[in-house]
Amino acid sequence: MLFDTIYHTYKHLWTDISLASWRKYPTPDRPDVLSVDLLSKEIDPETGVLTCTRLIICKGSMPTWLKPIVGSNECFFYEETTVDPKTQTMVLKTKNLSFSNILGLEEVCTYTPDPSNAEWTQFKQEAKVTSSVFGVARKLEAFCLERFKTNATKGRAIMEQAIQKVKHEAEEIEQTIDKAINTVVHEAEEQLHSIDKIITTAKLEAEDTFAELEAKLDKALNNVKARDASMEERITNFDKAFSSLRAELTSDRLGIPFTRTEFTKYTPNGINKSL
Amino acid sequence: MSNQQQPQQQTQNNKEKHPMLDPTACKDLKDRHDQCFYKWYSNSFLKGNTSAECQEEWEEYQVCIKDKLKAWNLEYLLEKNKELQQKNNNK
Repeated sequence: MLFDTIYHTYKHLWTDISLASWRKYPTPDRPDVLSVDLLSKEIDPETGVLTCTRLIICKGSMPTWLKPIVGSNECFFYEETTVDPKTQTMVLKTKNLSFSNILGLEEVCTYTPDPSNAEWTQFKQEAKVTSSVFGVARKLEAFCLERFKTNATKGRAIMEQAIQKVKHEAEEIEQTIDKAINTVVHEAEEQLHSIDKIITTAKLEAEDTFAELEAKLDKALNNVKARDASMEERITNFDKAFSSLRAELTSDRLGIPFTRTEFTKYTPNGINKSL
Repeated sequence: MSNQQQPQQQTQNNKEKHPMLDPTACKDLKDRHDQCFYKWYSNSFLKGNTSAECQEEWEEYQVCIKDKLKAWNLEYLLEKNKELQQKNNNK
């Protein structure tokens, strides 16, 4: 039986690390991890602790001397993850399902906030390898532990990438929100602008109608004036006619006033009377 | 992008076998559930909200997973989970 424990501090918040942990696979850095499937997820209503179980299928990348013993192409791992959001503790327990009769692989990963820096996360990775196969047990255990160490190093790099993915996505969401806000602002501005336009057009139209009204009024006034003018002209004409008639009547007599009879001669009534 | 191409090749290699023996079977349903799960996890669960979400995505995904486990002779894992569930419910 062999044990090993690796410690590491991630300079990231526990919340970010715990989300990124779910998103580590698939990754091109571990082509041997073919799939990770959730088999159950339960929340304890009392404690608020989430328990998930997962099946991990790996490509059997093993040394040639191990192949005859293990035989299979794919190997399976079973993982139980518990997350306590109150204490900010995430624990992942993984063990092998394949060839478990000849080899036991157990790994426990724990993520907790760093007590010396709340913005960092402490990571503890424990491995236990047990083999009882006569003759190759030691070799097998050593091999698996070596594999555990290489994969642990890879795992840290993968975690950093997953963190970047999570952060990048958060930024993208922020950008999308920004964009959406900008679009809304832009649309509002455009609407305001079009309202401005409508008001201006309305103003212009009002001015137009006003001008039209003014013109109509002017025309009417001019008409009235023109009518007045023609009336004046008529009055003048009448005056003229009247004075010329008077001149005609007085010039014959050369200043001699009419006698009554004579006067009546010129008036219609007089004419009638004299007849 | 390159990640998505890999599984397709895998599918072809395993065509003679049961389609569920493709390790990447149920991937689309998994992705659909995961997209919802990640949002729920960071926006709800980590903030103390214990109400379950993504139920529809989860159920569709699990129907596929059942077939996948059957193909690999791993159905016993679900039984194991049921026991775990009951333990939790009895608490």
